[in-house]
Amino acid sequence: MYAELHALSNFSFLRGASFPEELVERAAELGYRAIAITDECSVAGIVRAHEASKKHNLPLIVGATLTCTDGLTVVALSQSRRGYGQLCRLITKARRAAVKGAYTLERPWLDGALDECCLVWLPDGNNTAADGDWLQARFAGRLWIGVELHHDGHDREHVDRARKLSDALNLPVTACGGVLMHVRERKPLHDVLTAIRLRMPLSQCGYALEPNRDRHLHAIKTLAARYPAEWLAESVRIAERCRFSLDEIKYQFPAELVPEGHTAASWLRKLSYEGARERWPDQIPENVQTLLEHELSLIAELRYEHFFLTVHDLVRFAKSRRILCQGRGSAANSVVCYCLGITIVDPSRQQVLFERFISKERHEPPDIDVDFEHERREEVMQYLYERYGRHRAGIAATVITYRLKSALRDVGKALGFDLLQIERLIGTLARRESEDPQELPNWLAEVGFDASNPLVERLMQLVAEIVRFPRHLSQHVGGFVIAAHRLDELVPIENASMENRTVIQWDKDDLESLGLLKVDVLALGMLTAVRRTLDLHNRATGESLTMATIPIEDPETYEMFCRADTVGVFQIESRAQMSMLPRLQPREFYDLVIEIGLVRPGPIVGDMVHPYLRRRMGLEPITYPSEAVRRVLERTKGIPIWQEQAMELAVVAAGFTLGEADALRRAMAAWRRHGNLETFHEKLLRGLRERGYSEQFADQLWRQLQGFSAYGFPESHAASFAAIAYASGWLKCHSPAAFAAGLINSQPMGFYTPSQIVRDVREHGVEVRAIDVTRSDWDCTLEVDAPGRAPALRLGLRLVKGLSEAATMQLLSARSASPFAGTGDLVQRSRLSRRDLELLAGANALSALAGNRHHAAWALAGVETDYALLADAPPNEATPLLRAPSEGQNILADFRSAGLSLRRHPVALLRDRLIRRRIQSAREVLESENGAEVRFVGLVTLRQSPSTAKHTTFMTVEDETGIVQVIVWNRVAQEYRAAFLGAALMEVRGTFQHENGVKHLIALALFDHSQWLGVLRVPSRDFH
Amino acid sequence: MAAAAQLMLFEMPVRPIAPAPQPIESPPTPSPASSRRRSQAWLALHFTDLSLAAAYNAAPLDRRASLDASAWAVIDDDRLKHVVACNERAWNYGVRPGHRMNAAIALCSSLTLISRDMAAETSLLERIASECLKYTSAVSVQPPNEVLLEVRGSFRLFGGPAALIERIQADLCGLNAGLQLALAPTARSAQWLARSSTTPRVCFPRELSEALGSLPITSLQWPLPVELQLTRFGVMTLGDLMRLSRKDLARRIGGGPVRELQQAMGRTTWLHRGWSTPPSYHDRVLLDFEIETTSLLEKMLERPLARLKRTLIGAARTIDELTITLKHREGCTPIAIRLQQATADTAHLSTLLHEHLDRLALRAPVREVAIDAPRLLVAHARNHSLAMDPATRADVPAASELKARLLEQLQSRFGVNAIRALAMRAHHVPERAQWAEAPSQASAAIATPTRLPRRPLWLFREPKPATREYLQGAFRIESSPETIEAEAWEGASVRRAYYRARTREGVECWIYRDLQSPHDWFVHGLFG
Repeated sequence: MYAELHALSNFSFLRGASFPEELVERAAELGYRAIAITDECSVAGIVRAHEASKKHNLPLIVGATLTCTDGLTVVALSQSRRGYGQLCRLITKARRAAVKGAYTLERPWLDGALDECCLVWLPDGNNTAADGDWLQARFAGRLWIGVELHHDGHDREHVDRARKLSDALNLPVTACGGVLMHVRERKPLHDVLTAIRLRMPLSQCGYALEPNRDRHLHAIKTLAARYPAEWLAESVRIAERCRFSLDEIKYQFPAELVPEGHTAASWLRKLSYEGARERWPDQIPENVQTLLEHELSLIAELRYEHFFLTVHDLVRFAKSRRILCQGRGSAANSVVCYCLGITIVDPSRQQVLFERFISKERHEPPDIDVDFEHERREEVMQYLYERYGRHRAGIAATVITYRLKSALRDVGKALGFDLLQIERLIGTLARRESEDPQELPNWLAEVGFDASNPLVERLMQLVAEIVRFPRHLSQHVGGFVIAAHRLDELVPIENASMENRTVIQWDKDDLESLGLLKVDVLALGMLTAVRRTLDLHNRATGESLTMATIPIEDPETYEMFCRADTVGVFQIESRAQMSMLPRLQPREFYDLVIEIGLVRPGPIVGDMVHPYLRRRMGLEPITYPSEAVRRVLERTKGIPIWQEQAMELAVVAAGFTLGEADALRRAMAAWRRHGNLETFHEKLLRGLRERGYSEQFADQLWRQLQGFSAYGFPESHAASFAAIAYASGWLKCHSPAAFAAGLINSQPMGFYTPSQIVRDVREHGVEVRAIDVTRSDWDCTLEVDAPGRAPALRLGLRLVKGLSEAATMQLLSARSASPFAGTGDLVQRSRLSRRDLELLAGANALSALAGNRHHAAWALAGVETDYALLADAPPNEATPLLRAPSEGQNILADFRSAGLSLRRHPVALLRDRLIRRRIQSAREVLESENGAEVRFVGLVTLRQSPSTAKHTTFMTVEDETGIVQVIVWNRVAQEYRAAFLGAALMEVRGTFQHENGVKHLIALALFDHSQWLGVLRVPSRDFH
Repeated sequence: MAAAAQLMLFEMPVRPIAPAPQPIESPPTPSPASSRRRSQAWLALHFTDLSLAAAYNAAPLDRRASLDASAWAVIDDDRLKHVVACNERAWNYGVRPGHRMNAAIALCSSLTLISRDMAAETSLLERIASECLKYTSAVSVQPPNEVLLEVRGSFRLFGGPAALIERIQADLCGLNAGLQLALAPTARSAQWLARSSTTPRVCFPRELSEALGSLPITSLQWPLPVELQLTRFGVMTLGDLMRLSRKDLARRIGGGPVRELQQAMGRTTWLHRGWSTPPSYHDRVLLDFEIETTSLLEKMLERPLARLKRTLIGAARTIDELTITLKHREGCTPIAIRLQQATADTAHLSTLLHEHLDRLALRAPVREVAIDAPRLLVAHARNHSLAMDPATRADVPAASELKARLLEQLQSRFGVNAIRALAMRAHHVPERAQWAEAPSQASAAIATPTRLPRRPLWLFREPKPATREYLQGAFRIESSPETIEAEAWEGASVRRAYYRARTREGVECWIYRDLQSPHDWFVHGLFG
């Protein structure tokens, strides 16, 4: 008869060597009556343990091990919900008092803090009697002496001392395990964890390693031989007093969002109808009305009103600050959300069933993520803190776990491997797609490690073991939890590495398991760009366009999409998307939704792209194996593209219940982590067979599901993205100058550099004007010379690399007082630092004041800024004999200081040389026939190796006449490796392909001509 | 010949040796007359791949063979881990100096990486400099990778500049250090020209300004901010630079670079002719008669040792190794003395020598004695009272020095390998917690956990099997078990349960049961 009261899981980072669920499972196997997971001042692993305890039907005690700064150690076990809340508060206090990852617990803090917790005291050191008295005075009746025997040679003394203390203080004694691993075989891993924690190789860890393998969960028989029976029985008595279960946690929403006189339901109804009347001023369409009523009743039934109200409140705040936002996620594309302004996707134009996402059967919270402008998301977060208080709002944690690379690095160091070797191995792995430790031996062999060497074998074994182990807590990208009362009585809060940031100890999955609701406050660069574009557009034209009032279904915009003229357009600007656009020919909003969903790893892996295209182009008949399947797949021409469709197919074709389909979806999402998809395979095949579907259909469906499992994309997300893509596309089409300025002003974001954006906008006939201290602002601006004329784009000072915004503001305020008379005047009045001035001169921004950039730099270097007295007495200098910059030098300097040049394209300077070598220009290449052999030289501006296109790299190579998209197969990349990886100016010899408006150059050979550019180097953006 | 010249040099204690081969900056305003009096000819040796050569030379012979057959690169030890240099195979893969390590690996996955060893580079450069002493006496080491020689006086001897350059190239080509050289009227211009040209370059005084004018400013290796500033002015070559007013220029880029420009043009001198200290010591004594006893030999060696001491003290150097070679009519007997601490104290050396000679049986009469110290190390001066004159400086040994001397003396008497020290180490397994090793100065203190149970003072080298005795009831167990289990991180894994036990005779011993099958019992040590 035994209950383990002191067990540390691997959520006591780098101390425990077993997952909480492993501990629980093992304890159940051994026939324990209960187990307490008592991590070091933490409950981060408790939710996983809780899940496991339900699965194995073993009572779980929620507790923590607390060591005070003076060495006093107790294990606190919560007896009740209140006791748990107290424990959370104490942990919060200790964690908040220390830096991230550590805790500081002062002994006086225990006083009165844990009245509904049982305490097991682990006496240690000399002052035991005094400590005992102190504890006895405060925790009488709830205090035990804990004895842990680990064959350290002193077991007899430990027992004697416990007996003496027990007699002297009149305290009961209990046995406990001080468990660090679930089975003894984890000891090697525990040694490694210790070495990692101490940042030493194992050979130097010495006595810091555990002397033996004893701290695991022992069989009851072994324990009975080691401890008096009474002590073991006492552990069970304690366990019986600790009845608290995490199931008791009932999450309550903050109440303040509902004004007096309203219930949550009536308030939500009122807001929804107000919104609906705004959307449809004349009359709310009948089908919308029906849907709205249906959704409202479902929300009311599941009591999710507060969740919608909370999100609405956030969106309302953002709108009041003119921060653009857009909701996405399964519940976001509902009529309620549309009416509340959470999304701009009109659900009445789509066939997405709200009920599919909020179902009665699945007790799962609705999912709404809201994207905000990336530069202003912090304002929204601050609003949350302000509105609900720091004690009620917190960000979810992300448990950072060991991945293959980090595991190799840390374990390699611990085993004393040569660091350079390890780095080299990791470098090789960096270019691998999969992270499967099973493949490690092959890679090791490739890098020259002897895989049969015992030490290398050891390394591989330990790495495989440590992968997925939690290493530390980090903050989630934007998942907020808001509590009705104190958040720190729900879950402990600790410091994040960012200043003034706190995170709770649970991650997203934990919150979901417990049914706690979180709101995702995410950042999206494109929203910033769209808002800025709208501002610029409105200012230049006098209109008052908003994202919601952008005209829908504009044919010109779709025409532009069909031409793949989408540089800078959200989501459909990547190479793969661009090559799909001319084939897919999007003509309406839902086409755009499909375009976004289709060019994704999931559909590509599941082989859905080409069948869909063929059907769309009418090359293949659209057939359905049954009427039920037709209903699910009709909108995507019989090809399952969405995660929702996959789930629905499981329901209608294989007889899954909604709950099972949801379990399947979760399994799909977590497949990479847990790999438990196979259990569904059998069931699915059986269900399909029973309903008379062919083996081929079953096979295909399974393959598609597996494809989804890795990267499934829900229709609701695609619809939200499509709305933003459409808005950005419309702006690009109708206000190109403003759009380019908006994009540049929101950098860094997206695929393209300012240089490529400027090039694109110039090709669209927009005049772009150079950076100029007498004209430019910090941001790019529009200059309208005469009403009615197309605005020109003036580049902003933000493009000058290294120039700070603060310095620019100084400059602008001096300029607004009066225009600068000359360089000296500018230096005196703007009070810029010498470095800032040099940056300006380098960017040729002073040309209006000081002539060419060489003279400007010379003049600036000669200005004495340090001595105010000398300001009016400039030294008498002759005009220096400086060379005027050549065109090449100017281009070089432009690129160096602003990353782009408005002068000729660098390749234009080489044109004569290229003509002599019979190298074609981009224009000539693009006008070639399909299958022509061509030679082309250009700057490499983009390298992309999508994980779906195995071993294929897409390169964007440009010269002064245009852009050529190059496809490099792996074989060619290997053969011309140096040029492939390193060339800035590249010669491509290959075959030109031209199909359905998609133009590619398939590379056969690559050559590096970067030396022709001299020192000019154009950076390429490399994506993997 | 060189050895004799050096011996001469050391025989003149009046004139101290220049302490270190560092360049001597000229005073700010030299007299132009002195620099023009006799034109100089400076040869600059610039090694582009010094770090590569240093790494290769530092590698053991068997490793060199594998290096020859593979692509390899030297990696800087900074955070970003840049490639400093790479061999030709790596170059052919596209690896270049300046690449990040990961980029280099991406280009060549079989690339062997070696960490940069600055100390090895410095010593290689010094070695090259000492080699160069055979061409001229004026050698200046310019770290990190250049050596400058004033060779005007050597032209006649070696048959003119071209022949000299060829000779030097031939001498140093085996090093594979990427030698670039240039000959010019000033040290600075030779240095700049050598950096910019892969083929040897000879520049006569009348061509100087033209040759310099075409140099790109990058070959000056001026600090990056200066180089950037010049780029901003559109200055690409030295010619562009020389067109600007030096006063205005100095205001903008500082006086240092402008002064270097003057030095290159020969308007100011930079390096004086100077001796470079030979980094080793050689002395030989030709005997007028053959010596047959070691005691006489010892007596005879007193004077050369005193000479060594004077040299060392005069040059502020110490030695850590000394070889005395006794030459017989046929063959010779070397006596190697290695010191725990570098010293200039020959009295101590005499004592050690005495121990050696004491053990030595001369196999033949001695006709000649050679004394060689392979390295002269820079002495680190200790603080001494003001009253002490330099000659007695090294005679006040510190406690650690005394310990070292005792050790040396013991080693001299019983042989180096006969002396072992007991070392402690933090380890749970008793036999791994202590072992005997070659004595060294550093004895690290280790912290033992206070709660560790008592350990026997006498631990057997090999545990004694005692299963039979145990089964016969020979031991009475007196403690609770102490289980020690160590994983196989070093050597085999260990799983034992230890007990304190008493034999029937009353001896307290430390016994254990092996927890791995066949679960035998052993006695591992005895208490008190």
